[in-house]
Amino acid sequence: MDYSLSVATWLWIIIPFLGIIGLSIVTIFFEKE
Amino acid sequence: MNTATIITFIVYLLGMLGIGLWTYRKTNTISDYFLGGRSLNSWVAAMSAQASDMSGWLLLGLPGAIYVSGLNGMWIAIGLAVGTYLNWQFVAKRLRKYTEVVNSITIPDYFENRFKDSTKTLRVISAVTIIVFFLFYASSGMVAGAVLFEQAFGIDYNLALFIGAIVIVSYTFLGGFLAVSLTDFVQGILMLCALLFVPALILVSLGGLTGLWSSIGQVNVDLLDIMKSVGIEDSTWITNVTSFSMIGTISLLAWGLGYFGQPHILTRFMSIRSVAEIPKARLIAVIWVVLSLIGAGFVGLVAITQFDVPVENPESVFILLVQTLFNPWIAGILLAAILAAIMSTIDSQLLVSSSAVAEDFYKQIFRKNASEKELLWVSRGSVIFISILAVILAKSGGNVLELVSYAWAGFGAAFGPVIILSLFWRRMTKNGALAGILSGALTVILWGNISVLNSIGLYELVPGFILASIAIVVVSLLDKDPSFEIKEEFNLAVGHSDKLQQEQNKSV
Repeated sequence: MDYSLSVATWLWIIIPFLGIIGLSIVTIFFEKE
Repeated sequence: MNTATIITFIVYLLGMLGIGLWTYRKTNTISDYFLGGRSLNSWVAAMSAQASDMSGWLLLGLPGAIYVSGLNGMWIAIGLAVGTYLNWQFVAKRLRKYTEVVNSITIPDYFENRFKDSTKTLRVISAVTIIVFFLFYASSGMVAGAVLFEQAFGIDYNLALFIGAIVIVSYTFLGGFLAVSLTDFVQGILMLCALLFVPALILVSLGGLTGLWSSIGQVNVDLLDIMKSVGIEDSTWITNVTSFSMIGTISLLAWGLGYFGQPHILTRFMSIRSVAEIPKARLIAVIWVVLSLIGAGFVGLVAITQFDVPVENPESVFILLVQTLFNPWIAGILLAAILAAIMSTIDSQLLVSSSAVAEDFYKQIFRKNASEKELLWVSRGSVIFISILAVILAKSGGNVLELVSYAWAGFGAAFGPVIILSLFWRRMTKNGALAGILSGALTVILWGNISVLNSIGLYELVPGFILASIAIVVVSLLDKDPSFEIKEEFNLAVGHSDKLQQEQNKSV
């Protein structure tokens, strides 16, 4: 039988991890000294 | 232990000592010794902060937790990743700038200079907190290392403890901060490679993610659900229906709150070459932490499929996978990654503790006019002194995870709110800071000893952090307004230098 991760589990894991990488990339362009 | 593995270990340890000798020649002042003369580039600062942060827990504890409870164990990883990001985003830049404006090289130094505390109370209380908590923290790392090498390779516990301590103390003693940061950099790369390589290879043999999910699903489908809690009972994975709780999840996520108060991580922010390097360092640090946490998660998940009977000590799954699946040369390198994780955390903690002894006690209280050279040797002496105390404590053993969790909560609650508010709230006062440190530390110490509170099952960092924040705000507001000089420095440090002038003009 095949098993897979539920959409909710994927989202709980992916959103925080990709979110902080995304924010770190975005802020490189907006933070100028 | 296999000869190939021993040779790999010796080469690794000699490499770390080589870095110590090389940086010894570059370390001439106490600022060099404790902050590397604020010369770290974004790569070294980022990797050093992350490697100092992640102890043996990353390669042993987290895979073990996920091996037992499945994806539910990822909540703590999510909390830590988000905490890392927030610390780099909101604390790094301001702390780097502020500590330069008020000319501070340690956290107690910063507290004293930020609030112009001539009584030295803030410095002494924070230095004592650092020495006490780090002594236990560093010795718990030594216990973890020695126990693991005793279990995995049959080396005598005391011998393992002795060899590990000699290597860490040697390079920290010689090269101070630069040695610690550069060894952290190498160790950080080694840790990440090991955490990606081991699960990736097993994943391929399982037929990719689809194969992994199917193999795990056959063991217990709830291991694949982040909301379900699973445990091992009588050699079987059993879903623990009643145990998923909001409080449990909040407690795991709350580990991320601890970051704002960890002196061994905060000093990395202070040591970066310039503020302009911070956004790049932040990206490097965040990518490292996400990849290594996901790698550690996968180590736990693939391990579920690799052993017929659940392993007795879940924290040893990484070691067991490496020993069973890789040839001795590769296994030597991969197992050295565990040592790297443990050493990169202990060395940074030893250095921060020795700065508390040399800079915050010796120089400030006993020998105000001590020369740079004298301070440098007192600092080196302190590294040895604190290491001996940590080894003595480690010899008596102790519960590693409990101590780490306690020290993490202690620092997070005692220093976290003080650091954040001191960087963002101009109205904060010295008495507010003192109230914050004391109430944060006391809450953490008392929480576990009051059975009614302890039975709630909430990580003591949460109430400690909240109460410390409230104490800072209430006491500061009751206190009189900070002086013009303090406010001016605040504006200079956070980049609002025009604001105060405008306010002055308005009031005139």
